[in-house]
Amino acid sequence: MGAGPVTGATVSSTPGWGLAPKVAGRTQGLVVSPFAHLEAAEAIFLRIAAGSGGAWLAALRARVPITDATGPSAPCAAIAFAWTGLAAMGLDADALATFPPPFSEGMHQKDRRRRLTDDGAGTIDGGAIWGGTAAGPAIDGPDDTGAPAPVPPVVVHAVLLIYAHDDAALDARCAEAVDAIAPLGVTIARRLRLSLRLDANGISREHFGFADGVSQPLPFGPEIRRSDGAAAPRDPWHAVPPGEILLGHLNAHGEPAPGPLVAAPPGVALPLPTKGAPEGFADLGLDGSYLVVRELRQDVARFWGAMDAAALAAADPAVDAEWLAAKVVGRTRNGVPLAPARVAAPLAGAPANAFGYFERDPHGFGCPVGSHIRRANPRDGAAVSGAATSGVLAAANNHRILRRGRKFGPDLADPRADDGAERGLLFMCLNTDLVRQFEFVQQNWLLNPTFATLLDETDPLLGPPGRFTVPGAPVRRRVEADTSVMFAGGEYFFLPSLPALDYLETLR
Amino acid sequence: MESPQGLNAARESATLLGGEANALAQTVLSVVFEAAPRSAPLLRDRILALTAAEEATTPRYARLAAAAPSLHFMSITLVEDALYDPVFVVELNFDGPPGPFFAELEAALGEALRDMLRCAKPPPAAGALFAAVTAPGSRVPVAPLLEASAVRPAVFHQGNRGLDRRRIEAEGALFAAARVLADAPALRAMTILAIHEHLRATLAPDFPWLNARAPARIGAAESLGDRIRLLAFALAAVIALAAPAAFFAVIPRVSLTGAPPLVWPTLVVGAMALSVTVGLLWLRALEKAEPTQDEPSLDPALQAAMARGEDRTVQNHMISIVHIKPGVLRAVLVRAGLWGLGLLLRANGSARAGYLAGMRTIHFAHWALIGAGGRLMFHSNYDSSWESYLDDFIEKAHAGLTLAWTNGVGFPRTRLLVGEGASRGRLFKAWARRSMTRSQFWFTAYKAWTVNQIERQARLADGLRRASLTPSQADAWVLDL
Repeated sequence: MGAGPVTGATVSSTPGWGLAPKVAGRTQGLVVSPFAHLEAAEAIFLRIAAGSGGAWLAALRARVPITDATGPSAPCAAIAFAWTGLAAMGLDADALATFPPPFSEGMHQKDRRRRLTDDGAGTIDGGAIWGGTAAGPAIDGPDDTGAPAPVPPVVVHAVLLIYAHDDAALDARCAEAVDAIAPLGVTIARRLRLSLRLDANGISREHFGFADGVSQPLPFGPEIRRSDGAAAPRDPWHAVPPGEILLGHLNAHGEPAPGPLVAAPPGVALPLPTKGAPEGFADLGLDGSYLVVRELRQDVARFWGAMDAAALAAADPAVDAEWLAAKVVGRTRNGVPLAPARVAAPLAGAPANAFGYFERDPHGFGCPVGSHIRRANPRDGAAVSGAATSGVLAAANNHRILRRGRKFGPDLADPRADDGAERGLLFMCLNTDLVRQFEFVQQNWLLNPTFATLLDETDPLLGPPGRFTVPGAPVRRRVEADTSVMFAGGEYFFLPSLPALDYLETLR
Repeated sequence: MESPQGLNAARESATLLGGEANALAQTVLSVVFEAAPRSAPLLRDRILALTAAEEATTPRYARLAAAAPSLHFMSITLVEDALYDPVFVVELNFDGPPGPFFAELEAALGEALRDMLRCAKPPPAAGALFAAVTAPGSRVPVAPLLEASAVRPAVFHQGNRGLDRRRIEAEGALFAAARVLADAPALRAMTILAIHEHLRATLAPDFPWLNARAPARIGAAESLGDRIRLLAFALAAVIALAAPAAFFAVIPRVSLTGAPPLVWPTLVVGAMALSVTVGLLWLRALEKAEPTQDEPSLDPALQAAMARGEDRTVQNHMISIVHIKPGVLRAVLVRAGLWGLGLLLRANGSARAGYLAGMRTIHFAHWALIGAGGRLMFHSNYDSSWESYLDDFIEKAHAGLTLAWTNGVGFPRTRLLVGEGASRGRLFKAWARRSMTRSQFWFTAYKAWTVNQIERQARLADGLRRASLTPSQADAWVLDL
């Protein structure tokens, strides 16, 4: 469930993974599954009136239960809260202060936006339209030009994800949710209908046409189970400790991933665990996670237009738009990673994912060093010698994220002719250390202008317009890449455990 | 540096680039003063005013870059300390010996530095000079005072050792020009050897230094000195470790004249083993007992100010000052550890090539003991983000990092000097952040280039300096285009 491409088959096929029964009963199902057996989905972004407390959450869960991680079920739901949402529900200031700075400051904090390149060319015209921050706190102040830091107009406090077999079931479920919360101070700030649209081979493709979500981290440890119930082995390429995805569990830095705490006065029974928490506190974070959500608009016609123009400029019969697009992504449309001709073609079946770059493609003659998949996870590619590969791979795996995104909007009939409809990817990923995992990938790999041996270029799929180096013989070519993926809004959310949801219900 | 001015400068310096047998060695040092507490806010304002003035030139810092052509990286920081008066630090990384450089600095920044020094306390060793330099309306040169107050680092490391700034800039301009030529579609029909010949022929008129051999980056005498110093340190360590045990336990019981020849090495090794065992037991007892600071309080305003200044270009700067743990053993370990590490980094082959544990992300970094050895100051001018820089070391070189900082107060719990410590990444990062402050003035001479990029430029230039390449040399060379 946690691995492989987002296909219908992966729900039950190896190498899926799950959680030991005790942990599974406390954990939201989204952690172990993208719910790929449910085609229809919707993201409902909520705005919570200040002082609403947790009554609305109780009312919601009574009619739309939040799915746990014990096994397949339908329909399914998941919920996660922005820092401002928890504040609006009345979580006290001392508890709010136990969250880490990226979560409390939010994705739209000025310096964070600069570091994540969420300003400028990579953002939709007029700037991002939604986020969790209402007014800029003192920390934001005016920007370098003296102007006040821009704030997204639509304020989002929580995200409710609902999954069902078909549109009719989804509509009914969403209506139940809205009916339950509307009288209790919670309004709908934004809705996005999501889809997988698996093709004949069971592969979900993003709007440019490429298989998505192929490579995922594989947790291992005593609390992780294979789908047949056996203990999960340590994967040689994609292993991560469970605490990279679940708060309170052992993480890559050899400690329980730190999560938020709440005060637990003596004599008061809270639905939260206190074991392992400092005296006087209960553990709000255990078995929870952080959910990064980013609405990324895709301009399909612009992407293929840029590929056509670059192919024309190359003036080489061996170079066409399709070839260039695969170089940009690093995989073929079916998800097969590019490799030099001397590497044997993959066998039939799911795209190969057990490979490194150092041995088979050190200079990127197959899969360019600056391609999207190589930037998103460089594996052992940064090693300076064969002896260094295992250390470099292990280091790269300290920056993995578990992706849970789905696309939105209709397919574009003619990929060269824009129809004006909004479409894209609702990027979602789980991690426990927002700085070391999500932000690291975004800043130091994807959008780093000096990634690996490159200079003055960023991810050709996600970055601003610029050059993209395609290694080859006798000499590399540099092609012009355009911006066809644009940030439209996003936020960091806390995905609580089920006991933590029970606690949040008690807020007044 | 890809500007026409940069290109012209590169061309003009052409004759010098090949005219010397050896490149200039770089010097790393810090000038350290105590700030006068009442004047500290004014001092900070003066540092920030200098930042504002140099940023106002076009391009930013262009005036200083031209006025101090030997300067690679420089920072000026006022560091607050809960237990001492603030420290005023000028960090300097430059080409050649201090004398000529300080003259250059005097001309470039003398009056601004004089104004800052007026907010410092007179240094005990140079009180008269300080008074003369800071007197109202004084015209006494600042440089001698700076030189007198300079602290040589205990350990320093360079990413591009032996590349002086002029050469870095010239090779960068060559790289930019070669890169544009390599975009021509016609090259795709040529062999690599033909591409080399074509680029060399096209570029040679603009870069006449391509016809001269590159100076050796590290001179033979310097290399020999590095090795001799490391060897002397190792010998001194053997003597120091063997001496106490030999003195107290061994020598009185052995007849020195009648001993067979094999006894001496055995005695030395035995005595060393005894010293090491006692030392390790002592150390381990300390490590178990010494308190740590697991959750240092971080001032949100200072963190925000640091975040505001970081990630403005591909390089960043870090300054940190920590207090040294009390006791004789810590005092010995911090000196011996840093001294040995410093000598090792000068002599070790991969460190000479800029690598630390397989990573080449540091342009210039140094550790120095300040305040009569009570505090350890660290400066680093590094590539990529702070998180990335530290994560790299946490993941791949935590033992070295732990060794360098384990003697700092509050450092995460360590096992036998190199174990645990920095491998507890989150604790270590919080501890390191707590010891840092905002770099109030920071200059980098080549802000767009990483250490690896500068080496790439040097390799490309090296290939173009050669009239011909072997096929395997050519295959490697073309990858850098």
